[in-house]
Amino acid sequence: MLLLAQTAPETWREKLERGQFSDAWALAGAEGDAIGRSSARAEILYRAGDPLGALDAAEEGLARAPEHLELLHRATAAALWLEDLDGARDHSARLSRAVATNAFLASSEREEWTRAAERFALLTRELRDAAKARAKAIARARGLALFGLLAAVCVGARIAGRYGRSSSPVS
Amino acid sequence: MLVLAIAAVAGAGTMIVELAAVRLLAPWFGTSLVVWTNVIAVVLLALSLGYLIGGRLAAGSDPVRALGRMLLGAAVLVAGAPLLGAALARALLPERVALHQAVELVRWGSLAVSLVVFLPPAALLGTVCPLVVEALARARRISAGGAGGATLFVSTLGSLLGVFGTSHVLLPTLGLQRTFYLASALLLVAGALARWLARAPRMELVASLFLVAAAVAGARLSPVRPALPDEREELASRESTYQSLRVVEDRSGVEPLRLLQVNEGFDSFQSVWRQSAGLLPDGFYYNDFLLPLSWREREAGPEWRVLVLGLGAGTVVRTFAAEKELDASFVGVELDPAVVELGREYFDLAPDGPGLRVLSGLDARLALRVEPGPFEQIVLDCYSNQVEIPAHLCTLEFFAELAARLREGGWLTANLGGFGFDDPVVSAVALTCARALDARVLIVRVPQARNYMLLARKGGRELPWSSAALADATRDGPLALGPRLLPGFARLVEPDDEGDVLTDDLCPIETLQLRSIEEARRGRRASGS
Repeated sequence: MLLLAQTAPETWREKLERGQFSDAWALAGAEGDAIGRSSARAEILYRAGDPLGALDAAEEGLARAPEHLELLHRATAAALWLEDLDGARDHSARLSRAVATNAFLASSEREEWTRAAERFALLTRELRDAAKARAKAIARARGLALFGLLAAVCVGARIAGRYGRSSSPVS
Repeated sequence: MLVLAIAAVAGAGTMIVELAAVRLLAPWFGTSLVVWTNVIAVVLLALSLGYLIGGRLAAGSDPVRALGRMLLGAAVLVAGAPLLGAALARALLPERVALHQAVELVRWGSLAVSLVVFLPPAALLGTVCPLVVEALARARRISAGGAGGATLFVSTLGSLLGVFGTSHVLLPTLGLQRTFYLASALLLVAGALARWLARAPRMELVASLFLVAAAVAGARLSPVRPALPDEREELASRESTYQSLRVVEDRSGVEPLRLLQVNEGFDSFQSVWRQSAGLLPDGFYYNDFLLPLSWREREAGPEWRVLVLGLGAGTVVRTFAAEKELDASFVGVELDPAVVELGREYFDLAPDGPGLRVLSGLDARLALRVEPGPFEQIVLDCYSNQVEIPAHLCTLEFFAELAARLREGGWLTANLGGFGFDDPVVSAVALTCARALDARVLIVRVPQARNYMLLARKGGRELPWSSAALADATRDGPLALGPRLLPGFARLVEPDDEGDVLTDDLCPIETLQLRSIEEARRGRRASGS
């Protein structure tokens, strides 16, 4: 048994853990099942620092398995990284629903997935709040700038209008 | 004659306010073309209003008395500018904004702060010329034209003095706040002089002195720079001739990192330091300047001469220490001498010696004239943020000058911020480089970052490229290629590809930069490929 374990070929995950990205990618491509392939690619690209690639790979898999927990987890994390609010909101909500309706999860697994889904929901809310704060700040700055410009023009026009009525000599 | 001296002081004060205004906005909004445009536009608007108001006031019975009042008012407002400007900028900017999210805020925020903080004092200073003209014409009984000519002559000379003095003396020696206070003090003195000439009551002077003192005291209690998160500590800050600088130590990770932040910074930095020299943690683009070492020919000797354009505080030089077998020597060019000083104080930038020669105070393009080469590698790291690429450092002619300083087969490596291979800035600069060298350019995405590394070889030597990914290293380099070997992390640009090519004559880099950020904001590729 020990000998078998030692000579068993490494999985893409093991290669990834060792930082061998191209080997991990090649093994992921050899995965027979399309959903597993998408999941592996999403994980590799996410760890490589390519959140958009990871999101695309995860969404490709989700098109086949819309309630796949790992794919939803990876898609939500990638969308949050990209600060893609719509994507994060959609995938986070789907993850929460999928965890709640999955009948095959053991109670410890369910607890863990629920915690992950709650954390993503919180991060999504924070992302939404930050986007709202930014939009408000832009509106405030734009309003103040336009008001300032308008006020300056009005003051100028008012003073210019009075010029004609002055009769004081220059010297 | 005294009223003419007052006009000169007002002219100098106007320019001090204008130039210092940009620097006051810099830690919050940067000093991009947008910010400069907004400040200049607001000052011009203020001056035009001031001329109009001054013309009205000049028709009154005592223009010199009005002159004193305007100058005292301007003195108070100029003294209050650091406090009010920082408070307003802080109120307008939400916390932790990333660069690609900040364009609209920079545009409208800098305009709003300029209008509120700088328009009123500049308008009051604008009233000075018409009032002095009137006072002069009445006192000397000369024509309006003669009085106007004399006033504009001294006022413009004062402005000239203000421009040179602010950039070359006041900001680098006194710093930002004291520059404002000096301008305020000059205006106070000029105002007091005008009130004395008009034999006006002293109450307004006393009130102005009190308000100026209150503004100065208030600014001491309130920070004039953006606050840092808890895990970061400011070690030093400096106002140089070129920019607002601060050294920040980040203690959020396993080991402390020092970052040199320039102007607004947002989520970017200019130099980084960790205690041990060598490669930096993942996500720092400096590591990718070592990529050519992975593909260096086996027969090449250990000597490796590197020209670093945009040395900063010397991060690149310390990163090369990762390659132990290399006999590297560097010529580092840095425009801002204050950055080099901070580098030596806080970033372990070595003193000049056989391994490193620093040319500070020199523009990168000018430095090429004094450094003929040849070099094994040129590191181009002059592009700050994504909105501040100097137009003369990304053109066909510039890249041709770089190529002329490379040894045959030598490497050009350039760091560029961007949001994808199709980003307008990344693709235009890469294609321009390819055309200038008449060679393929390899663009490599820096993992975990928003940076792209451009690599090109002089003489059309082959780049490490297969159909889908980077080829394996020909020798063991210090940098594990890791994620860079994955599809989607590298792209080749051919010299005959279609696209924008930037030249000294036509270089719309600002437009491309704004388009880049706008596209990133609209799409979902802010941090991705």
